[in-house]
Amino acid sequence: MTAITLPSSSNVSAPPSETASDSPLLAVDELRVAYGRRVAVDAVSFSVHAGEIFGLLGPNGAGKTSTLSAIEGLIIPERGTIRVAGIDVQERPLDARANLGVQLQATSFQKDLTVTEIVRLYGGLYGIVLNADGARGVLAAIDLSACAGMKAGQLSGGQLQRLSLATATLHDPPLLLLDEPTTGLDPQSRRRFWSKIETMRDSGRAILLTTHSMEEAHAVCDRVSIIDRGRIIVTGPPQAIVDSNKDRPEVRAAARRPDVTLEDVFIGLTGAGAITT
Amino acid sequence: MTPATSMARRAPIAVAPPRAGIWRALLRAEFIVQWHQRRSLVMTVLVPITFLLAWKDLIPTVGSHAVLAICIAVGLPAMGLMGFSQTIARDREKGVFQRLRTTPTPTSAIMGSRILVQLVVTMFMTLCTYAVANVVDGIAVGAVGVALVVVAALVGGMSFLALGLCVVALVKSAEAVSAVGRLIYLPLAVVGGLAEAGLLGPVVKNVARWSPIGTTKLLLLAAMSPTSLDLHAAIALVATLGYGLLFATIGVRSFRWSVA
Repeated sequence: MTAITLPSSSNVSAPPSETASDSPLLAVDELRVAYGRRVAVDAVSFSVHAGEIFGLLGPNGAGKTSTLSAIEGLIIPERGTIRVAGIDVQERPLDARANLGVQLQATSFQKDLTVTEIVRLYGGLYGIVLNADGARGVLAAIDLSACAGMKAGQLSGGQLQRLSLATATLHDPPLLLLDEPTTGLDPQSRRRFWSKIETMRDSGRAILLTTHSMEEAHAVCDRVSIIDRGRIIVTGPPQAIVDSNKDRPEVRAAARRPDVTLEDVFIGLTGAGAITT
Repeated sequence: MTPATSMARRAPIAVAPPRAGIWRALLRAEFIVQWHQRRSLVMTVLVPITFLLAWKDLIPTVGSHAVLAICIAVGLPAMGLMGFSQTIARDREKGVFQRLRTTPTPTSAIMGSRILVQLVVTMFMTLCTYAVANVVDGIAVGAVGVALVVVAALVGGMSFLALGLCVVALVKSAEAVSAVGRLIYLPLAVVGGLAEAGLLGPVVKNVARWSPIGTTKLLLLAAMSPTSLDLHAAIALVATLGYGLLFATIGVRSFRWSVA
């Protein structure tokens, strides 16, 4: 599978905030992750800059979560380097993680802790001492004041997602990693969530996310990479990717309407273009 | 798409916070968990006390100190194999550890804080058992004896926590960890207890004496009579530490933070 290069005459491959910062907040270079003999991620390189929302898109098993796990330091890559805010993740993992806010695919907190206790725990882990008033303030900001004494297991999906985002951003990290953050959320919760993420982007944070929703990716991401079978096959702003691939036969075959969408390009490029209806 | 502003301010770069604060946050959370699980804590404390009351009739045969030592020794693996291991397995299965590991928290602090809290519970359980033994059966070991009994219980408790870690390391699912824990605990406790009374014959008695429960019991017994510490006590200490080291080595080497 060969990587698709976008036209050099356009500014599509340049991160939108290039002018705002000199170096990326996340730099992944030639990353390779393997589980035994199975290679999950191979030669993956990309960067995310301050003030940018970057989407990592791919079918199930394409290597998105493995890439995120390597950035989070949960798995040790076989090859390649990862720098968070200029800090090598393998050389100084704890310092690197101090600059990360993470929302995992499955939100998991200790089931016997209340919402307030969870907020205070995660504050403490990032060096933020929150007293009861401080924790109340955090919960008020995410509209969870009424749930302060509830256990995490009693929260709805939307409430849990808000709590998860709050614990990920308590320390105001420069880089936020979100693994399929809106899965299972209702439209209102999704809209509130993206609004918050865009606010964070506008305040100079870098956001790397994975999602299966091409519509959401197109709407909120400044740039996306499509990853398939462990390799990045295209990177650029969503509309530029659509424009530069819309005439490819496999994309045309995947398109259900005259206007080609990011989803059509995604399906066409990731090998599911043979699907016909 | 909302274009990113070229005026975006870059967030300041942080370094990992001091370890003391991280430990404080983890320990606080662990003690809160123990408080919320106080019914399970009471059950843990009730295990040796129940044995103490049930084996009251053994006092004339084997001696009051020996009965107290057996009861505490039987209570320790209940914590390691049924409390500690199951909590670890459940939290691992739910992804709690993975979430904690994405923070600037050393993995040693994540596990260490849990072990430390279990040791505090061990101390509590030992003192409660002694208090009941003192009030109900009039068993007294003196202040130095109590202190040494607590130390001996901590040494034995660590070896059983290591055994619990070993089980979680070798068995993936929380359900299976629970089953394996009970499977190991029951023969350990029953054989360890009954063998002492000679009910299972001299061979089993000898094997049980040098089992993890047996060596812990010897250690506790020696701690109750600090003036008569002998070679047996020293061997029991070395054996208990050896068991702990063996289980910890297997546990630490094989442990995985996630089941995925």
